Amino acid sequence: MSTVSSSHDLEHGHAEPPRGLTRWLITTNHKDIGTLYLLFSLTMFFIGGAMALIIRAELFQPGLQIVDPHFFNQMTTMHALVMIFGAVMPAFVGLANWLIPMMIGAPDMALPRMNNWSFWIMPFAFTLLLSTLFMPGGGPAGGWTLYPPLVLQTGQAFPFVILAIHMMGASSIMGAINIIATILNLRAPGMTLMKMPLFVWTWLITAYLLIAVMPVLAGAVTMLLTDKFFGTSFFNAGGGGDPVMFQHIFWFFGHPEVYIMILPAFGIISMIIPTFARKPLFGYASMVYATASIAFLSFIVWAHHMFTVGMPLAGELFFMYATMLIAVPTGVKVFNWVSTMWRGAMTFETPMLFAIAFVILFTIGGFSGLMLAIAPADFQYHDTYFVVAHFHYVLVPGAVFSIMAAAYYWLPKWTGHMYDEKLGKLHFWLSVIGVNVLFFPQHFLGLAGMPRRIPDYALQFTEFNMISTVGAFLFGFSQLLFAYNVIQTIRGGAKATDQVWEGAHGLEWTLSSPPPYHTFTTAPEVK
Amino acid sequence: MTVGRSSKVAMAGQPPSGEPASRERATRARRTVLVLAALAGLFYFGFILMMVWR
Repeated sequence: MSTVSSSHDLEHGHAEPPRGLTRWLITTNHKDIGTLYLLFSLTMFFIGGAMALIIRAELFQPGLQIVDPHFFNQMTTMHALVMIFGAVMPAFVGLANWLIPMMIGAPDMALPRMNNWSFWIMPFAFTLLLSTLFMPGGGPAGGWTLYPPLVLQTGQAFPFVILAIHMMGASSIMGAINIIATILNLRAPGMTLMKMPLFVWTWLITAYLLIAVMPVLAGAVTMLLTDKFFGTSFFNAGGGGDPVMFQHIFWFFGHPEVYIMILPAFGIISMIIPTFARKPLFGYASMVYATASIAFLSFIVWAHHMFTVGMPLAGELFFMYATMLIAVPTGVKVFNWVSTMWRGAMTFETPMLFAIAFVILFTIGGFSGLMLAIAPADFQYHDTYFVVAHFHYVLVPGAVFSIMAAAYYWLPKWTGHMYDEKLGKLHFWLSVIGVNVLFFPQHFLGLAGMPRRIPDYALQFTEFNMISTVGAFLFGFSQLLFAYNVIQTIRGGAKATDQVWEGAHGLEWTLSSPPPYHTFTTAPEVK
Repeated sequence: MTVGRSSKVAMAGQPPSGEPASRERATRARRTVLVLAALAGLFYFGFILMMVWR
């Protein structure tokens, strides 16, 4: 195995990064910025997780116990905003920053200064967003979907929330532009598009989705702002506007957003499974086309989130069938992952355990999504805990598990140390048990009619809510093992080899562990 | 956990920054950024204008 490094660093005297806080503030290095994104995401994961535990603690028993209903509503709203925009998306951007240049043989991202700016907007945006909890009237409480007219009842926090969302959007758009510019222009000689690792492909497609839909969210919240403060009536029925139109615009952003949070996960799983099955990925080209198909379909299914608002039958049928179509390319992916494992020389290190759990549990989330796609059935499921169970199966054992898998998989490469495998496996088993105890009973609650976003409920829902809360605390506290394991791995541990995993392939594994501060300053040639 | 694997990576010469190939790549990257930024702007203002027109 060869290690690719360059004498360039030494020649130019910048082999070592600057020291101290300044390094992190002014860094333009993709690895540093990747680390910043990942640490930020972990912090937000724990903040959003604490909010989830407040929600679940309140729901442990019927009646109002711990928090008042208005604060409960703020928690459901903020939990979603923090987890989506603060935890999941920045985690994938962090992974993109660390990995894409190393995977395509580029020295850095195409726009390193903009990269720094993209990251440093985020802490300010989230400080602003979280500070609204302490403002008169509290933070936003109408749900992360910000539907008018309810959201317009937010107190003094309203303009701050809108500004925070604009800042997150600007950060995401700049990040996406950077990723596309990097992939299209900085690939090493010989790295054709169809030779790119799947993680790079999925991120390329995700970045296009981001550029197409984040401005739509920004436009929607700008119109909310003008409705509230500048006398417009975009969504105000009294002035000739239409509140349902907001839902259309929001979900035109919101549904592709779901895929923004899952396509990079598909890429990660497509990297990990071949490594531990010791076989090349089954159906590489079909994976690329399936990803592109899912991205295209994500733009024409948005109204399945609003079947109950009352729309023409033709509309309901179109959105129902279009939604069901997504199962086809998604099925292709699941089939390919299973086929990759078929007769492979499999081993079950922590990243592989998380990847296998992803395939099984994400598929459960996919199936409940198919149930929700059936318009007449959705009239029963809509706004119940069934929906909560569905999207949490997609996002927690889906997106979050893929991020955990990626962290365990590439951590030895990033730090030069092996993580504690025993602790990793303990973390996995507690997480996989916790997440199912937490979310599976919510299917039954929803089918029995328990509405979402309420702090109190009828007595017949008590047992499943108690079970769900126990699962929440088990899952939540087991994540401390992950944080501990990561910190211990950064601080030291058994030395990792350059290739780290026996079956790993790709340019990043040809670098030393940890890789030098600057890599591929001389482009490798891919044959 | 390591097993030697013959790498398919070989070193290739890359022009240092300032040379025509590198300048061309920078120009291409700049062009990509401008197009994508314009696209984002189009979506933002396009949706608002569509609603104003409506």
